[in-house]
Amino acid sequence: MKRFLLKVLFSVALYLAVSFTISIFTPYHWGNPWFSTKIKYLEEINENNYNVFFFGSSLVYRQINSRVFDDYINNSNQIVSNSFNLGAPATYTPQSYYLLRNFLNSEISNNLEYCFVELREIDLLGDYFLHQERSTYWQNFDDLKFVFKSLNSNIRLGMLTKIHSYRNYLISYFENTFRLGHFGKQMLNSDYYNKKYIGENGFLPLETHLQITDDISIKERLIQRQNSILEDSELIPTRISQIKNELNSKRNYYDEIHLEAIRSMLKDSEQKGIHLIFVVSPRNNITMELINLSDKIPREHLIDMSNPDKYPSLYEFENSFDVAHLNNKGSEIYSKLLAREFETILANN
Amino acid sequence: MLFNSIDFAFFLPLIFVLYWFVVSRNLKLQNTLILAASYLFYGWWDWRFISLIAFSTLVDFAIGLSLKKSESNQKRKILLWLSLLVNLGFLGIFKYYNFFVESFVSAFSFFGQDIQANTLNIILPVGISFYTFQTLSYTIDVYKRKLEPSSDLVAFAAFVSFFPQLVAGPIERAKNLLPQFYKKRVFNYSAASDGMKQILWGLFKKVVIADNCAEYADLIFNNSEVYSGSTLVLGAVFFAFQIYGDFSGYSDIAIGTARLFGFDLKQNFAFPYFSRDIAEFWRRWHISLSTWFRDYLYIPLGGSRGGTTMKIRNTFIIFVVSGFWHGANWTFIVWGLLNAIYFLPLLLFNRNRQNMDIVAQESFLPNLKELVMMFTTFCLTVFAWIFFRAEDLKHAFQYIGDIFDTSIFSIPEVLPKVVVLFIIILICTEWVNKDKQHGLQFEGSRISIFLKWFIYILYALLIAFFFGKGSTFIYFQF
Repeated sequence: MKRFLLKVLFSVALYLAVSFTISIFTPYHWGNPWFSTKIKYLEEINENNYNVFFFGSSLVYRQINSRVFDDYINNSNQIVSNSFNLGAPATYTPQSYYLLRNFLNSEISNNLEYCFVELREIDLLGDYFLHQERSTYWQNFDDLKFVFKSLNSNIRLGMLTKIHSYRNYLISYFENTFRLGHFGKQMLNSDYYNKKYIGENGFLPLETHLQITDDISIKERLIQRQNSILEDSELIPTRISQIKNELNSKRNYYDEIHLEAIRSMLKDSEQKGIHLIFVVSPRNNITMELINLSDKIPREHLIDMSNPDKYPSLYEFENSFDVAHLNNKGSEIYSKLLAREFETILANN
Repeated sequence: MLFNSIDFAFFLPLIFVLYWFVVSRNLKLQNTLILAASYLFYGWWDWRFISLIAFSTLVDFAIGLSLKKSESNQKRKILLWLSLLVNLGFLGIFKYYNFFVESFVSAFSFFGQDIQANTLNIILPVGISFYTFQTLSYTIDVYKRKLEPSSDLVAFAAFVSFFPQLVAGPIERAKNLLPQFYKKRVFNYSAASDGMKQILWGLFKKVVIADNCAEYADLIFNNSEVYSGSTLVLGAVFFAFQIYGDFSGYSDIAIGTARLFGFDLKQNFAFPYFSRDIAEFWRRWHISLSTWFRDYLYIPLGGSRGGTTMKIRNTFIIFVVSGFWHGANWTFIVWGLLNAIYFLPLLLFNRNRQNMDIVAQESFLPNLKELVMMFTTFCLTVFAWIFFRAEDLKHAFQYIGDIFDTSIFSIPEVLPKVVVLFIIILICTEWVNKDKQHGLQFEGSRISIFLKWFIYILYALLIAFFFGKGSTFIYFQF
């Protein structure tokens, strides 16, 4: 038995050693095909003059038009903005922080001056994202500790929700350690890193995506999402009232662990001469806890675009693609409003 | 619980540790742990069906003991029929009831009679065909006085529900497996070590070969009307490797897992795609089912001892029943018939036992004759698989019709080179070890230890890379 167990242990150790060796040769972003394609593009172009980057989920990727943003800022004559959208679908917290950390340590961020990061609550990692490469490739012990601490201190979440989330994070961590489900898709699919993802300076709204995609299943899904707000006219008003209810809530809890991580990121970026700005996106399913958290972030590092009363045009039907995303017209409005808020920050500093 | 799931990756080591470090000194405890683990394994899928196995176990246990006590032939026969009725009754209700009702309705409407019939809205319990046949073999053997009935309920229940082979075989004979539950298992290093390799090989066949082939076989079969003849041929070939990888992969994992616990299960697949004729194929494919039908159906029917008519009748019966065992669909029956048609000429000309040895045993490569024979057998098998995979007979005939089109000579629209490479790796590995129990059994070969470890790690990595689809095994539905 001893010999057998030693052999099993040796096999596992050898496997992990090979797995670790593979990780040395793979870029930090490999499992997020949208983000990865954009980084590869930035590495390939001869001169990377981008000094403003956007990080986050599809609420960033599909809604912040870099060109419109740059035009607005450059007309204000405060700084010269040359921005690039690094948003990617389902890139939630803490994956977005993982990507940001690594990006800031890479050479392509050398000209970076301003960085916008989507502010979200810690993702609970629902079952839908379980066993997906994009939910596992970035898992590491530090982020796992961060998530566990944050969830543990959360007084709003029920015990069962927390346990389910711990379980899903542990499974994903285990899968990353043993490389389960990694690289298979890339081996079979030559289109895995698709240059179409880059769009215009990293911005690809859903409306444009629908026009350019050759993939029938993606096309069908997007049409379905687009039709959802036509078929149910209550979807957007319901989302608006949910957000308003949260904003009027009297709950005063906020995630201290998350705030600590944000402060640490602000400190690190400041040392590198980078101005970090957290953005609360419109149309997100926000909570009072997130608003409380955002209140603790210094004003020069925060832009909150979530309030439907303050930004009604970002919640109008004609500016919508689906319940959670703006269409091309809505993105243009949002990008201008975001630039206007940024301009205010620049003016105050 | 699926073998290719994270759940099983935690379940197996946990049971292994409990088995060898906590209960290893006591046979009763060993069996109790196997029984509990098996029910947990089965209940993971749907706990309600545990009661079905438990009931079937109790009935056969009681009938076994009654058969021992009873001297009257009349009473013994009644007991046997009772067991058949209970076991085949469950199988009939869950698996075949709707098929018969629908077929009768179709038959009546064909003659212009519209009748109303209610079908049952029930799900098929996973593995019911497998454990039903296993318990049947027990009762029949006890009835024929070939086996002493078990007086140990825990051992018997553990035998019926033994988790490695519970849901998709191999269908073990009571004569082989049950006595192993009467003896305290002692850890055997070489068996356990080889078991691990067999599990690795089984996972490779399931995760890397079957699941990847399935993606393309499904794509082609589900859209067969838009593809060229050459692509449809490729679709059938992908399905041939899908079903082989899926089913034999499961058997390898089952046998390997059983060996970790000190049990020895029979080989279920012996590299069937290297067969030189259909008779050899059926000696190498799903061996536990083929031999079950041979011993409990073909031989009692008279086997090949009677005249030509009897031989033909028995051959058709065994193949049709075998097809029907796979599922309540006419496609399976036609698949069985087709195999009977392939097999009959060999039987009638007394050539069904001409290839009893292993192909190219004395040389590394096959000679031209062997190559042609293997290729022909493979093509016949692939052709029959079209019926097995098709949605219904109409789809199967349409698929075959579309193959034999001029487009059969065009370049396939779907040609995943990586999957083809994996299939080549599978064939080469199995060819090297075609005289062994599984593809990664390198004992006695001249391969260096470094190369062996390189191969193990490479296969483990490939399994890991394609892991996580969580796809179920095809044979779970049978």
